[in-house]
Amino acid sequence: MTQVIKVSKQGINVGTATNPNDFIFDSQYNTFKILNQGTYSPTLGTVGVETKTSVAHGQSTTPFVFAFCKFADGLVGIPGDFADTVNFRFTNLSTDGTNINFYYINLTGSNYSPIFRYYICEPPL
Amino acid sequence: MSQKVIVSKVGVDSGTVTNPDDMVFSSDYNTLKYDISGTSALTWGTSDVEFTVRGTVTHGLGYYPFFTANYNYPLISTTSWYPMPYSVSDGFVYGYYFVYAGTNNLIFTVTRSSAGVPGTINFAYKIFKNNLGI
Repeated sequence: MTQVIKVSKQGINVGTATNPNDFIFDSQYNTFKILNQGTYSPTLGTVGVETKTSVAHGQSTTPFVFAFCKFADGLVGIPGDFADTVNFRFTNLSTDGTNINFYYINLTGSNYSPIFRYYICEPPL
Repeated sequence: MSQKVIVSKVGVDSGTVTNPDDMVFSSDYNTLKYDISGTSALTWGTSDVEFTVRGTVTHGLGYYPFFTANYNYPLISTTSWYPMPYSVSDGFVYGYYFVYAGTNNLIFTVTRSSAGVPGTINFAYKIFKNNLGI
């Protein structure tokens, strides 16, 4: 018999529960592991078309990545969000074998300095 | 030697495994810690043009958390939920559905060139304990 480790939610009988949503942890299911995380703070010049700025992820395969952008107005957005008070757009996010690519359009008329937070996760793509 | 907990996949020796993809769990790696889930909605008048409406949901964590959100537009479907954000524009007709995190709130905004019918967008959000640290 395969041995398993399970931690159920409070009030749930770990010995009889079968719904994965009733478990905090179940060794039969992989967990989403954060292999690395970092911040990236470029200064981005004015550009009216979608442009990318990149940071190396250092993984041997193309990783699954989450990313967030702290806009200068103090709010944090996700890929596709526009800054709330100025015309800076965090338009998209991609990963390849080498880099995490942050796509943006800067229509503020001056340099813009967002702070990107990224999470490199397992399993890979 | 630091102590650690590793649960490997079936057939993999947890005592020698080094590839995180062969592990179900490893205390060497942080995980997402799901904390708060909920729904919210924004509404607007059917005659509104070129407008933005905003709504907030309090999370009270005191820092920028890891978050995600989906939206549902009942005019398109009462049952389908789509990942946020969303934006569409052809110059004259546009719609933007954005979500942001503050240190104590999630903020939802809807910007549209025209109202449409009905004037409601539903949101479903997940907030994790993980502090973005920015």
